[in-house]
Amino acid sequence: MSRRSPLDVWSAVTLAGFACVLMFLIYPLFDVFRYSFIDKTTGALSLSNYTQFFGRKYYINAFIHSMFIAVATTAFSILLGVPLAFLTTRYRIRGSAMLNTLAVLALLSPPFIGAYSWVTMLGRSGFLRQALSSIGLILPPIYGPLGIILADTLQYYPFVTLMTAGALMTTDRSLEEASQNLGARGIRTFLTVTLPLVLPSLTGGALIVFMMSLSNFGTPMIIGGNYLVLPTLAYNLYTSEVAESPGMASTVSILLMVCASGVIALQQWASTRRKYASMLVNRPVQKRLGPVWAGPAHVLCYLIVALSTLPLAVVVYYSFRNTSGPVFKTGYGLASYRSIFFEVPKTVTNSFVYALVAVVLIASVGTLLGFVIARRRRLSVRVLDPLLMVPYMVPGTVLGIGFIVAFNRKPIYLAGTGVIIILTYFIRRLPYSVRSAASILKQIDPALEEAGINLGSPPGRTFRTIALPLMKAGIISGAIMSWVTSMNELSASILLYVGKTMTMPIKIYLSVLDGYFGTASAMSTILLVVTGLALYLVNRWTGKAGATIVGL
Amino acid sequence: MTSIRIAEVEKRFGTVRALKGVSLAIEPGELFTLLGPSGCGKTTLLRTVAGFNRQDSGDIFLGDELVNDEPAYRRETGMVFQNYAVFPHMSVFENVAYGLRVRRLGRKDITQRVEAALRRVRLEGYGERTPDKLSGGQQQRVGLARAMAIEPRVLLLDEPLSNLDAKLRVEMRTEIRDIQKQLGITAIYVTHDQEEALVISDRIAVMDGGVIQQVGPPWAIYKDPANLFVAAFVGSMNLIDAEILGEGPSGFLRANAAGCELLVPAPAGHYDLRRIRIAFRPEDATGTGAAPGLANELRATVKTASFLGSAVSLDLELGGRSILVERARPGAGDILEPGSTASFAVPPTSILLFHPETGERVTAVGEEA
Amino acid sequence: MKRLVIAAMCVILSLSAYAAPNKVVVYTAHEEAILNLLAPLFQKETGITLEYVKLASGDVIKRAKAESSNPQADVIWSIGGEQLEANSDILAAYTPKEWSKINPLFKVGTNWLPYTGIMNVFIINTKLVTADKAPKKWTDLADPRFAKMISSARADKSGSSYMQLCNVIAVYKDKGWDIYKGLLKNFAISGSSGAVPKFVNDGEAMVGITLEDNAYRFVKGGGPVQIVYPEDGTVAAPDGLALLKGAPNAEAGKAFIDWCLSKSTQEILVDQMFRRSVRTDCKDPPGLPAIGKIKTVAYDFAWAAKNQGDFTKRFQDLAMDLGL
Repeated sequence: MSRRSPLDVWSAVTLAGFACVLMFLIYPLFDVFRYSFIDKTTGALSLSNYTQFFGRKYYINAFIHSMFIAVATTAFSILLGVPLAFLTTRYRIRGSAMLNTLAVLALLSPPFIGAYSWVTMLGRSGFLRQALSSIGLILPPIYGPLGIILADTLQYYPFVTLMTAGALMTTDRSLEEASQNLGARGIRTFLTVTLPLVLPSLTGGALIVFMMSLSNFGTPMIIGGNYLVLPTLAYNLYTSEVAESPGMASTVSILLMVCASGVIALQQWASTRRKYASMLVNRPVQKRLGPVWAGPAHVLCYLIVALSTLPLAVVVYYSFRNTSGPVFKTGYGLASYRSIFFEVPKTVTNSFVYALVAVVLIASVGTLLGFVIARRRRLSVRVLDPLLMVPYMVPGTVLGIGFIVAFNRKPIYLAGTGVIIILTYFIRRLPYSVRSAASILKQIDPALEEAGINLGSPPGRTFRTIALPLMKAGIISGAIMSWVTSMNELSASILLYVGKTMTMPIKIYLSVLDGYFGTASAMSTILLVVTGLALYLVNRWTGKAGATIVGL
Repeated sequence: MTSIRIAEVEKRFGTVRALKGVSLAIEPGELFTLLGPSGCGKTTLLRTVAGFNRQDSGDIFLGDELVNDEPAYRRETGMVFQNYAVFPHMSVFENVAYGLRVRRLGRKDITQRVEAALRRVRLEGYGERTPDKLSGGQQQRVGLARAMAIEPRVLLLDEPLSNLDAKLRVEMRTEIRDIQKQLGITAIYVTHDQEEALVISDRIAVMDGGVIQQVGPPWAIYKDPANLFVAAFVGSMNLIDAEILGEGPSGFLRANAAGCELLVPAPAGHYDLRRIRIAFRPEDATGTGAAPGLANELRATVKTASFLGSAVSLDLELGGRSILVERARPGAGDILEPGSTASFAVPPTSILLFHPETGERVTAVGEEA
Repeated sequence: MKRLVIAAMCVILSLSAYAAPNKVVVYTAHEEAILNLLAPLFQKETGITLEYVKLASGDVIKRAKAESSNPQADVIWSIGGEQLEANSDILAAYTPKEWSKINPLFKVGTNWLPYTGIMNVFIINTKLVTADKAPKKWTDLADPRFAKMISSARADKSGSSYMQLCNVIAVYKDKGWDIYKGLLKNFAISGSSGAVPKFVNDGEAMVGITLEDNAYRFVKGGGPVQIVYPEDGTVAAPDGLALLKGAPNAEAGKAFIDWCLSKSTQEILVDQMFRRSVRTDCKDPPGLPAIGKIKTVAYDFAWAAKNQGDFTKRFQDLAMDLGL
């Protein structure tokens, strides 16, 4: 604890945090972002890109659209995610372990293919839309903002569920009992006591949803119709095959980052303003629901999860359809699987190994940094904290380009290796882990660690023997999120992969690119199955029946 | 047995000066209490001794050793926390054994010492329980056992009883004192509860605004407060503004308090204030009743009269201030009607004088002692 | 925790140790199916290992450019000619062995070589559009009955869409932009050009503008679609093949290029991929009309590449006005 000791573990961790950010974020991104301040025609330093952005209704509309989508998606995600988390942690819901696994799988909906599933269901000729219209329920085609919100919400709400559930498992039961004792009914207790207690974690999850929907370009691109949003704009500008406009592209990215920082600041304000630490002694227990409520609660949980699993079900279904070239035919078979058969071992192994190595790094570094952020609010940490959120906001494509340039020259050559892919996973998904570790620590009374220190245990040992076991649930849930999203990473790794480092999402994307949705679906199904299986095993390994959601 | 010396310790949190040059010398084996309202700096001082805060200046000695640069985990202090801080993921046994494992003691030693510590706090047989199966009082016993098991140089108790219910508080405070005396360990006890402080302590330091207001044994703190803050914080104290009229009998002055003439003790040395604040404890009022004609008498309007069985407590209004007096072994006529006038006497030797602006005692401290 | 980090480091180190001799590294936008067919064939015929990285064509150029200080690849294979033309500074000139057999019509690139002939066509969903209502010409696409029902990618993003824009301007010259604006009004923008025929096939759009071979795969697959060659003229242009400047395996790269342009390889492309050959001695793809029966217009790559900045700017302004 002594500030003078030069060998303080936590100062070293802070330093390492800065090193990570510098090495894997600022160094690779510097060149890319420089362009935003350079005038395209004169090459001089100027803000012309920004004046151009704010001078055109076109850009401003894209900006407003993005905000609308992100805010709405976040709101709906909370609406779906919180009740699911609450019901599955506080009450005995039959099959809740399966529900949780499926909800997490929804996060896995591979890029593009999930959005195409929605088109298949609710597009102009979508089978679901036609089936509904035959029973008199006329829905507009999915294209447009509402479609984006629907697809994004059903993909991202599990972030809210996971983080909220993690917090719900660690609130002090007696607080809720106190409230009930004071005569507050269930809902009222939930709103006035439970909700404020889990707010830091809830808003942490909501923040991730906000970031994901703010930076997602795949969904709006496919089902946005002509509804333009910033990430699509940035993606178009960056990957534009013809016109090179890195200036405007990085301007859009920087503006995205500025919006994102604002929201992060808001979330931090909301979660630090309320600081509730608990001793974790009186953990909540799962109650049995009364006969009246058991039915509706089950229906609600299953409905939410079913809706979000729907696109995945479509993908699985199409993977078994017969095809002729890119066209689906009647009848079922394994043709799509046969055509990717030789790719499967390599891509599955790559995805697993890269995501696993990345997640070990992410979980260990993220936990340590999360600890520093939650427990040591000194100036250096205050600077580090927002820096660690930057990877949230950098579009993957931008990071990918930055990495190619930065790590294909002296002194570091990593092009074409698995390492460079692992490093992109690491830096892109590090914020999850840092956030979830920090938010779980906010719920743990620092006195517990002080007690350890006081009993003669040095800071490192105290962290290992006291903070770490108490954070376990949070760490694992953060690690799972990081792993799942790493398994799914495409936008940066697509620019960095070589034949031998091909991963599952890359393979899926490339099939989509060719128009081969059968093979894309088959690969997606394999991705879903192996990830689901891994989640299930982790689940079995970490938790007893009821406590699984945190293990998830 | 270790003494604790705190010399000119300053601590700032941002712009707030939490400790303003605090100095204290705590004797070996003493149970020393830091008493004060919340935000007075008492917990900050305790945490500075434990090493959780580092002072901005000043020194802390445990025994002869200067521990300023010693990190918290090497200070060998045993701390008991307000909210127990029992490790929820460990059994009672593991909680108590934690500090011993850090010290790499042998298995047998650990078992022995843990069992001894648990026995001392009357928790034998609870070793395998997990903290969520314990009551608050039991959890705090675990906290105490855990702190004692490492045989620390000093014991630091941070409001250890404030989360317990009243009955348990009373029970445990004597228990803590007994254990501390048996072990003969030096202890600093932080509390905002003045009654607890009076009961448990060898000596008390009353703190306010990051400054030590007074240090002394409980009796002196109560009977002989150094200033208005201490006087008002410890026990109840009646305060009346008065005007000095002139010399009285030897060693006394005549004063006018809300229209009543009183004899008050003369301050030590030269004193030339005309206005003064006089103070006395409720139990020092004598002859309380409806009938006037007492020596050194005050008359006041009754607001409420509470019959307590063994006594009547009267809440009076005098010169715009609220006054509390008691009458022991009351008769039926002593429960006065609200609005009626009550008379009571205050023996001149029971009266304390304070400076009306600074709040400092103007009678010599310890004069009557 | 520390042990885990060390373990992770070990895995990373073991992953990064790698080397392979006699190989050629290729960045390509080629279709996966064709890659699976050609890669083993090339290896068998030349003994050189083909390591390919398949990417969207925009990403191919992005990546090659980003790596240009220390190139990781030898050859760019099958991406739009405009992009190669616009980035000819990162390419190395090479004259293949059988250069004399290449149709002079396609010998248009600077530092890059023609690979196959590609062509703009309309793909029509026959369930949604009856034969008499189907568009015959570029100008028909401006008809309000196709409002938001024409699938195409953005001309400032996709090479093939830029070729469509140039096609309209090449045919209609000065009136070209007005006509294109009419088309653009009816566009439902697709995120990727590869998805255009899929959208038409699935009934999400009535008409798509795409490349001939892309569309034909859906026809061949039995989808409810049909190809229309615009009566007012389509451009027939080559997609490209190029050696990268500073290629680490330049000789193997040259061997690969020669192989790609050989008669046997070109015939496979004609048969399996429905591409037109750039050689003078190959036939047309089976089931597709001979090139002579289609009204084609000349496509000047130098012109298309030179005006790229200007045209995409005008496109973006148009798109912005329409809120696309």
